[in-house]
Amino acid sequence: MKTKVYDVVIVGAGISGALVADQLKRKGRSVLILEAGLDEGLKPSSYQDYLEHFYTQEVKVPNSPYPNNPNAPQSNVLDIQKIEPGKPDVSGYYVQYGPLPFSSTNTRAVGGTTLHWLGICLRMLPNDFRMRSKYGYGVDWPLKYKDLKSYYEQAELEIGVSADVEDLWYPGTNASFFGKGYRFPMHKIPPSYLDQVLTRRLKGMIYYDQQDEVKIDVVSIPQGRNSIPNKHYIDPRTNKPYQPVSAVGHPHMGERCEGNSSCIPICPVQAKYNALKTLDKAVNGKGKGRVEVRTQCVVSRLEIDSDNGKIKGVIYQHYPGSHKERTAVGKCYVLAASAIENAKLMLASGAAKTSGQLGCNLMDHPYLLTWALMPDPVGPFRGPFSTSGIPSFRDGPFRKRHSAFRTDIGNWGWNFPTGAPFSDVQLMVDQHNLFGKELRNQLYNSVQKQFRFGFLIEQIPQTSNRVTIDPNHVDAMGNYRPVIYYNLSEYELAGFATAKSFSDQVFQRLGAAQFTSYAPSDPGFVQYEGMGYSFHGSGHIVGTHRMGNHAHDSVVSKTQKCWDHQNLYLVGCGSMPTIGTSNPTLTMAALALQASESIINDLR
Amino acid sequence: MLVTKMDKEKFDNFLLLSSKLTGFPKLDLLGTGLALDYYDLVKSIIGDTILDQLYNAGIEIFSKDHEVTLEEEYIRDKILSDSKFGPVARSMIKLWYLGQWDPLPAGWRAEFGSHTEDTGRIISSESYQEGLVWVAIAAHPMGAKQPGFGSWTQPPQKDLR
Repeated sequence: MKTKVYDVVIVGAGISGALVADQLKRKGRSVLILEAGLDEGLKPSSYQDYLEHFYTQEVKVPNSPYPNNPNAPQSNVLDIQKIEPGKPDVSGYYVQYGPLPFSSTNTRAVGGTTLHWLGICLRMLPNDFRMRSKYGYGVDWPLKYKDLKSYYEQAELEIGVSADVEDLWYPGTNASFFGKGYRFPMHKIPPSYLDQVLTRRLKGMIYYDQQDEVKIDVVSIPQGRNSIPNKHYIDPRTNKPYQPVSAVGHPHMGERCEGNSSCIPICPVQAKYNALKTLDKAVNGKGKGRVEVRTQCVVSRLEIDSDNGKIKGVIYQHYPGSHKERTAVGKCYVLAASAIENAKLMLASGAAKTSGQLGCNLMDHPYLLTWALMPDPVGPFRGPFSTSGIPSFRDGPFRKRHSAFRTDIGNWGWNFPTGAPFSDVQLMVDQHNLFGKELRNQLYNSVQKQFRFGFLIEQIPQTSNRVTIDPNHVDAMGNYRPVIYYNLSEYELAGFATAKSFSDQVFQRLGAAQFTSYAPSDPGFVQYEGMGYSFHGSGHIVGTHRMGNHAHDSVVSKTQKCWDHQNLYLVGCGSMPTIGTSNPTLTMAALALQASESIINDLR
Repeated sequence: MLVTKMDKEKFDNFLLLSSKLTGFPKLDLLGTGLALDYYDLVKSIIGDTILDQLYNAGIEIFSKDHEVTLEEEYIRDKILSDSKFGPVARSMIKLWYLGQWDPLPAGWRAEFGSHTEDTGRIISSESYQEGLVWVAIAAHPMGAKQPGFGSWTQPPQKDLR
């Protein structure tokens, strides 16, 4: 039987793979997407199964709705634990050598991690692209902000971002950041009551970071969730006003965020963007080309032509069944399976060896939480996870001393730090011995005043933070499990210290009772200058196949084409040389759209 | 199914006890649609006899009108601090508030018997959504009973009592 040759074979049906497939289809190309996970979610009934599964999970974490699949195993934050020196933690999917646990997870199913992402769509700031030359840390990108700007605009359309330009302000930017007349497809997601309280109470606040004056502002966050369309936004694809994209298979559901307070781990109405929407468009929508999604196909490696370094095929196994190896063939190949899986596949194939950077520079936003009780009820557990933030520490001269960070204002009380409100019930019944009306009163009075900050700390790339493989650690199908080495540097720890000190000052200003506590038994407990801090993962898995200007120090070029394999693209957060302080999905989407143009050119 | 008059009476006792323990009126408990399921669950875990004894322990306040502070003390004395009834009562409160059964302590099981249903779990997707905690904190169950676009901009509701 003759093997079908596709124009492009894509590995991974998440946001990057879906965007690339959709762009190629519009240009008349044939695309095969191989996805390791199940196709749940593309059918409305099975998306509902995810939701039902979520309801009955005792501990609700990002992957709670999405059952682990032994053929395509995934990480889970419940597996994260302290790592004993010299002894890897093998209890979860990751094999963790530490010294600190890598605490971010992704989802292996059609739709990828956008099934449980939060939906925040922030552009990176101009100085994020020149960290080395401006602040002496990390590396510079081979791109400048202005090179990505039009792709950011396109990504904001494809995802469907809600924001009002006139509300937005970021340090180190001016009016050219968005440009004259720019609009988002939809108006902003309305700010929570808590946002309004903080906006009023923090107005005019200045924080002194040594000699640097940091002006504190509460600013609305652009979000990939549906809001009221901006009637002045004309969709360039249709030349008509923008139409919010509803739930897959449910044309009348999800055109607005309904305040389900469950963006992570699952938006019940799909008002939050997920890659199922782009995949549905790519497979079933208009376009001259053809996109085929084949699920339950676990790729194990690439076949490389030893003469010219080009990729000859993708080797995969289908389950259930014999697990016989099959080969998918294309003119061009795209790995879009997440930073960790991309690195793993490349290492398993003996690919991209020139730079020595493959698998290295794994990054996340170490996430520091602080929490307090406000003097009055603030109405938590309503609306999206976070509707406003404080961007003041996203850029500034302090980046010569410590990490920049983004501050988000959490709308769900102490859900993240303590597991509220479930933990409050347990505590009040089992420890405080409350019952009856007094229990009701105390729950109201305590939970209604819960407030927390989250600080996303910029992590600087280090070659020693990396993903590798080891034949001793394989999964049920015999594929490699990711082996991870991860640590934080003084630069990030100094960022924790500044964030905590800033938070203390805000709590004092608000008259909020501090309840933040970090225990040495926490998996992410670290010490810096005599103080302890505990960090979590942000789910922002970045680095591992960094882009750059040269084959000797980077894995891919600025279009995400692999230096060593000229018909192979590695797309996704793995290509980002630094992480900045933006949640990375929007940048990943912009980069995927840019790569699509390059792939289309290559195929000509 | 509640067939006999005695079944109905016992179920009513269960509701009354639940109401005193949770601080929610009987009507709210019935409104969850889960009262009978919870009755059956508790009955199957601790058995008819202990459930009857539990109700009888509080019989005086359930049958007569007492001053509120005395009633609270009475429930603490006779039920919550009792080694047999206290753990059951606390699991019942959490069942109503969280839709989740918290297993009885090992010591309780050793003394009073164990049952295969006495395992920690969320009873059903309905029980999660009907947890009284969400009413108590003036919110909605995360991921269900969506309050609608922009509802989160409004000031919090006052205490619902």
